[in-house]
Amino acid sequence: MLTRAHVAPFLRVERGIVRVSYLSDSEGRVVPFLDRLCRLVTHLEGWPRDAVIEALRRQERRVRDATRLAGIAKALLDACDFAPPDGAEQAPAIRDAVFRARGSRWPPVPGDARVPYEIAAAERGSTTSDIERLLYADRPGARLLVRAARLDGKTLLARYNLELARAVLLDAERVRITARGGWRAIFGAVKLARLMHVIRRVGRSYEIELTGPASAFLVQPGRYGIRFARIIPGLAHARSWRIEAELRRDEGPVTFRVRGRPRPSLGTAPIGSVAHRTTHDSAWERSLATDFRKRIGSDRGGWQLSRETTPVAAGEELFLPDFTLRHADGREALIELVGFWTPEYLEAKARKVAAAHLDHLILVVYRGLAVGGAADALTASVGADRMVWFTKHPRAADVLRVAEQCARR
Amino acid sequence: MRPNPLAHAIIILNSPATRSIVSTSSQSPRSLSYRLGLAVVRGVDAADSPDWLVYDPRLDALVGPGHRMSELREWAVGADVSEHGGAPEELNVPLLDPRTPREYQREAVDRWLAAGRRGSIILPTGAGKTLVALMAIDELRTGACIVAPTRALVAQWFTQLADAFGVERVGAWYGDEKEVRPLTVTTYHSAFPLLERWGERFDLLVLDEAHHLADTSTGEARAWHDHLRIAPSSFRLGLTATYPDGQDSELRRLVGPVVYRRTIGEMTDVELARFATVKRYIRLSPDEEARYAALTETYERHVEEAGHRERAATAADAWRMFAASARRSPPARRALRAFHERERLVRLAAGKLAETERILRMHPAERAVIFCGGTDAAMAVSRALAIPMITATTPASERHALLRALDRGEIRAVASVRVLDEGWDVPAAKLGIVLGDSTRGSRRQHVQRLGRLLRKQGDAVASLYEIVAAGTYEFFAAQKRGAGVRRVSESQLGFGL
Repeated sequence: MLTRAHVAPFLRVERGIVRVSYLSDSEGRVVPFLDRLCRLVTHLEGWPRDAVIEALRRQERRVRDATRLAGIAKALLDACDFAPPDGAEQAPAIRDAVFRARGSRWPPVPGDARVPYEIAAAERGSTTSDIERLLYADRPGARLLVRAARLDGKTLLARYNLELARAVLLDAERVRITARGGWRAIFGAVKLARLMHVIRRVGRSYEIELTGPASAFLVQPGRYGIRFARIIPGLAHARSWRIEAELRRDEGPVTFRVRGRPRPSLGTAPIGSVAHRTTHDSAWERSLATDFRKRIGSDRGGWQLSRETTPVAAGEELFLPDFTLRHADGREALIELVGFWTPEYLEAKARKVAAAHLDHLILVVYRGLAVGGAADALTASVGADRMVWFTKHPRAADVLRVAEQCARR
Repeated sequence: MRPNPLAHAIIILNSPATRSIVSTSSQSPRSLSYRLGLAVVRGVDAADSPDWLVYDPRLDALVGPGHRMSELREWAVGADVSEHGGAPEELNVPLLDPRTPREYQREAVDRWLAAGRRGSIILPTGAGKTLVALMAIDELRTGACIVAPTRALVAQWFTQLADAFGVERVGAWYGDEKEVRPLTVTTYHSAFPLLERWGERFDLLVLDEAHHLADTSTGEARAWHDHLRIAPSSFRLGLTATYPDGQDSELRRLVGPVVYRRTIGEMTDVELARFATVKRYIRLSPDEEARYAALTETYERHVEEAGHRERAATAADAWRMFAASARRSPPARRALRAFHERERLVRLAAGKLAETERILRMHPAERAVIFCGGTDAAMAVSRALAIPMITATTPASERHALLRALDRGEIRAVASVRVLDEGWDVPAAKLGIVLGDSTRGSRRQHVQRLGRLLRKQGDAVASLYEIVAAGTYEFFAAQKRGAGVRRVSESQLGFGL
């Protein structure tokens, strides 16, 4: 992800609106240059990360704006795969052997600089040159470029511009997203971001308003910015999308607008998906999914557990259950896991559930929260027969037992 | 875009003046709770609540910043409002620490207790601030969140807390390790999400190296004040050796006043080790000297031609103009590159390594810390002398193991960049060698580095050597940073070698 420093020189504010100077190719020279960068990186496969970064930096002499190049290089490297060199896993043990060898021959005297390396090599049955080569082979900068991004100049240009827009959101205080299609991925990304969100239906689509919970009381602009920026990869799945963000800057509040359309060349996840890295937004969700996969057996009584990203209407608003259990006969039950939350959250949840009249919704609730009236209110709203309590980890068998009773077609 | 149905509510949220027109849902019970950085009041008319609460339509509740929870708790008692949610952890074990607190440590804790369990304690490095914090935790016997600036310090706090209160009561929250226990240690970088989600479990907030919270903090550190704003902890303890006097308005507001202060000069040699500071000058090799001159020429000629120094009001402004021009001007870029290359040359000067070896041979029995000006220099020292390097990216477990090995004498020296400048604790290390600073002459950095060596251990005398490349910019940086230490060494304890 680009940083504020990568985008700052390309922002200007006109009448309260933030404008970004996106990179264009009006003279036909940018895309060929970016093509060249992409080819260069392909040639550098097998090089350490530090050397790849330096090689890209040296292209400064071919460009007028060094910050542009730094941002493009970052966007390009973020799309590449790096891996530790062979033998890097031995580095800590090699260091230990070398440094202890020096500790036992202290202080260093002229002419004995290689002695600790020779002792370590003898101990490990290796060569001195291998010991020296692998001493710090596990540093991030020593990781090798194993697969260069398969991009061309046009794709890199689009990716860089999208990354610029994403970096603007680092200073956002409030973000409103409207989109056509792709909502499963978008809602998934929103849930993972742990922002306060209100989702509303707008015609045939949805609008999400996102805010940082305590942003009204904080002094540092962009406290939640990185969470807003993480939403962007989810938008890649939409047919089109629009973001309106409010930013706080020294000159006062300003607005940033950006819209996106699909680019076939970008694929479905042009800037790396958050969702593919973290499928579940809590350890308990992951635990339930794993328990279901491992313990319920291969036929699972006809049940399949899937991550749910379709919102469910709950009165005026929508909410996203965590999972759906679908049976081969067409029945389904929704599962909402209630983990580490406050009584207010439970009360709000109870109101939402009551408003939604969802009699096939199962609430899986952490017993540690069973305090005060909130838990009672929740039980009253949902019904004790549709609640599954757990103390350590949610158990798939308990959930299935309830699902058999309340699932509906 | 269609009208935003939340627009009205948002205006209310941002405008306390309109708060009287709203009240929270009357169906809700009268409650106070903490949620995601907010103090949340439900079921109470705005007119009956403290006037600084504002209506939040997202929660249909009156809200305030988390750090005012303690005020709301006092108000709730008389307003028939019950508190919901997670209660602070209880710590039902006494402090088990074989050390006998010194008089000044007891006095510091007593003053802090008397000040309402809020405020900062200023003690020189090596004077036992950690034990002061352990004593404060023991007085309160409640859940505590300890915030430290580096992962190395997190590991060190973890060990101390585990030894004092039992490992099963101590958790760490940073990077990939996220375990919340009654006593949880975190970094300033990670504290916000920890306090946002679990803040109500900690009634005490301990802020190690609290000078990072100075009003003048820049970059990411500016955001660290926000951790204090969302934390619901009633009790707060700031610890530092270098308090940011005159730049502490946020510290005073969010942590409390300075309740106790002692300087190195006020401590006796019963409490801190005696020390000596020595400067050693080296010459660049002829090749290095020629390269230094060429790089200086490239840089100086450009700066002179560009006229930044004449046009700017201050040296800092001139630097900003120069750095900004390097973005779009290839000649400025070459000059900036020459500037950085020149710094690198001085950092890695061959004479520094040779002089370092000489000093290590002069003190063969001492354990040493070699403070470098950059990762490249630390790497060069590490490879050449076959000693470990500790940087910001060294995994916490490895740092911990290295510092323990240094303490036990299994290794005799470590090279470090900034990460060992403050907070770590190896009483046996009594030799410091400064090869360069990363802050161009920061007195605070220099005093912190000296402080690393001052923990009392028998009659051992600490030595801090600075190796300075004569005839380079480093001479002036050494003068500047040395000013802070001269003040110290000229007071009571220091003496020249």
